[in-house]
Amino acid sequence: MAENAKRILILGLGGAGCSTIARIASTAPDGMEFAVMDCDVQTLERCAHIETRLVIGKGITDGLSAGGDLETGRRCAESSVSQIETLLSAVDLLLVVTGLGGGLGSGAAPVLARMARNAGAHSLFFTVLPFPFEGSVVQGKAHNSLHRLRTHADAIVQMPNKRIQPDGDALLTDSMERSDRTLSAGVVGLWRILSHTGLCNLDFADLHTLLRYCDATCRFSCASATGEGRAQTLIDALRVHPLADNGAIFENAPGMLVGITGGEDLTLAEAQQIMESIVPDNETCWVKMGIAIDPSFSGRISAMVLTAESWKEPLVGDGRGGLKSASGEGGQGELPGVLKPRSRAFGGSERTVWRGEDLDVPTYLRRKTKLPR
Amino acid sequence: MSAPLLTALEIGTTTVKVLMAEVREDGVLMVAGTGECESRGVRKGEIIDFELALGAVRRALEDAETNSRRSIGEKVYLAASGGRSESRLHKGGIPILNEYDEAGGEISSEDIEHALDVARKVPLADDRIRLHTLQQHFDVDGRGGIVNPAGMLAEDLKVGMLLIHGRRSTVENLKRLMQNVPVTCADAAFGGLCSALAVLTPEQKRAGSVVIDLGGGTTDFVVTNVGLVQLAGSIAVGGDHVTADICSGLNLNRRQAEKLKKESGNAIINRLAGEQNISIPAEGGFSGRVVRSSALHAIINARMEETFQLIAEQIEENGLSGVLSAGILLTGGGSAMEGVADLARQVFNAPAHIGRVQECTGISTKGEGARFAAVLGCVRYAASQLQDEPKTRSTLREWFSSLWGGSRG
Repeated sequence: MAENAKRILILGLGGAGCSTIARIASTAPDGMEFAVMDCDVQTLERCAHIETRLVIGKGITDGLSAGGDLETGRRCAESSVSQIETLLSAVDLLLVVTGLGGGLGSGAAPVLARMARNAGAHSLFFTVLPFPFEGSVVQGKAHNSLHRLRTHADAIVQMPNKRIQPDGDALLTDSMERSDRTLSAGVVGLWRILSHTGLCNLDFADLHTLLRYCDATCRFSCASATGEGRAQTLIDALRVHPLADNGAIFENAPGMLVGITGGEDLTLAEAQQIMESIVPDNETCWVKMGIAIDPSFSGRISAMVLTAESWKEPLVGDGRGGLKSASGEGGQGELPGVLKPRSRAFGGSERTVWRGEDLDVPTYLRRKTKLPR
Repeated sequence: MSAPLLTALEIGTTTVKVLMAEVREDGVLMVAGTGECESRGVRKGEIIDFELALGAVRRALEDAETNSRRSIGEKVYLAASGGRSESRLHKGGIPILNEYDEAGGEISSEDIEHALDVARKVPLADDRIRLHTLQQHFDVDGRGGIVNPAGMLAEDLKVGMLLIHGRRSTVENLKRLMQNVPVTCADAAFGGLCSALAVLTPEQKRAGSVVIDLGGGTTDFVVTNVGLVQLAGSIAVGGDHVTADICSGLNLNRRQAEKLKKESGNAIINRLAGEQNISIPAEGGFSGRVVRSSALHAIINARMEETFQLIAEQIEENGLSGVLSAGILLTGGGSAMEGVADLARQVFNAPAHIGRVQECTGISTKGEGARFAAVLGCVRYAASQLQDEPKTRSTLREWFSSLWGGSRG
């Protein structure tokens, strides 16, 4: 990698995240940087081949798991703030793989997202959502955690487990592997397009743009194909990807990032065919294409598509702990000028609003009392 | 055996107060020492600068240690004001069955326990934290006001629980601050309830009264009737708002406004008293000038009247405005403002006084009492938590147990 390359860290969080990372890491190309983090020592022991292993919340769970308790998960992360900060220092993009619905993943993910934001790293969360049969409590927890995560994470890719449910009687291990493969292909694909300089380059800034506007939720699809008519095979494969909803994610996507990697035999016609069939036929869609030539891909072609589900003005902190639209347009309307003077008298703390009346404004002004002069 | 020394801490917007006291067998509080420090980094009862606030808390605790010549115990009780506390009444109950599992039967003590358990399970939003669950009277077959239903025949037993809850983030950050001092936070109590514990006599509680704690950043209130707390709440408006109003209304800086408020402030506009001109020396780039007392009083009056009205509205909405025969008791720093009791009398149309701490030695009940009411009450609360069992029957204890019969869950 080049000298000023952006540092990308791929982090597994919680039991599900760690085991996924353990499997991805064993087949990953060189140069990818992995880390795993859990409060369960046993889980981490299974990830022995990963260099960076972080046990968090030692004093809270005593090396056991968070026991499905969201609060414990959160406390674990908060108790290990300094270690996590060290881990995140100098990281530019944090890819977190975690399973929601359990204890640590659900509890610690929002904390991690907040810390990543504070450390100046962009965070992209690949979250695996539980099966419907795991019960409504687990589902509720996952949903709740997703909601909290949205506030701080730059983007979330949701992978509902039910999407990978295969037909017929596939073995459990096969299904799990399929799920992991899907996730792994996404993570590796994203890493590849960001770290390889291509003919038409896709870089960190492009991803940044997508993350800023995607309103915290995005989807991905990736595939590779070889042989005769490989472009068409690739397009079909992209559409049947578990997260692609039979191509529905492409049709109305307001923004997408397409990364194509091929060998030296990649033709312009192939690239054109792929782009034309994926990119929606309208003028509003924000599309950024990248093509990289990798000699090892000879005879093969692979593509990774990251799409935004909605396209909104990025939210920025409004200085009062909330979020507001950067351009000040859209979203919740606010009364202008008179009712919201820029007073710092209360240290920028939350305004006291009682039944629609802003009590921070002097009463005599609101009541229009005439002061004797 | 000597009573344990209890320490209470209040992290207010204007001052951080610490009080160390022992509770004697007869319920009298013996104050061993107090500590105070000007609060920094707190606005409207919420922390806006963690480090500054931490420093202030440490200084106040040291001050209390020097003052009492004893060391603060490991556990400190927190009187949490602010936090946008609210109360909610929730009723829950069980059907009473006889030995053949048919409806209707004698209410046993297990039935009562069961009904209390059911009623205590009040659902609460994720961002709120439970501060107290206070038991109300029982309803037997829809007939309310039953103090002890044991032995009565009934088909249905219900009991009300008043849940006082605050904002989770606020209370947890205050606790976190204490952890960093470091002291252990044994329990957090609602500041308004603490004030009520300090100044109310059992008679006043029965007759119906409102205790209003006029703090720097927040105003907390508690309404009691028939010996029970029936409504509690907090408004994030306080003395700081009065000062800010004076700043903007009379074009003064904060320090000038604060001084003017303390020295010449009055909550009512007295048209009979002559107009006074108050001269203010130049300071901090603000030129010296002369302000008219009538303008100052008009500004203060508008703000405080509004604050009282907001409380009166809530009392009215809960149908409690007819039962305030013991009147209004004012505590907190804001109660030192001249005319504030007169204003409360006008707004609530009920007698109003400055609250005096009850059954307490070692502190000037008149001069300091109203300011230290919240921490004093917090020590009372702490004592009652400690001596929950064994139950000895003194009138004061009974009063305590009726107050938070259900707070320990």
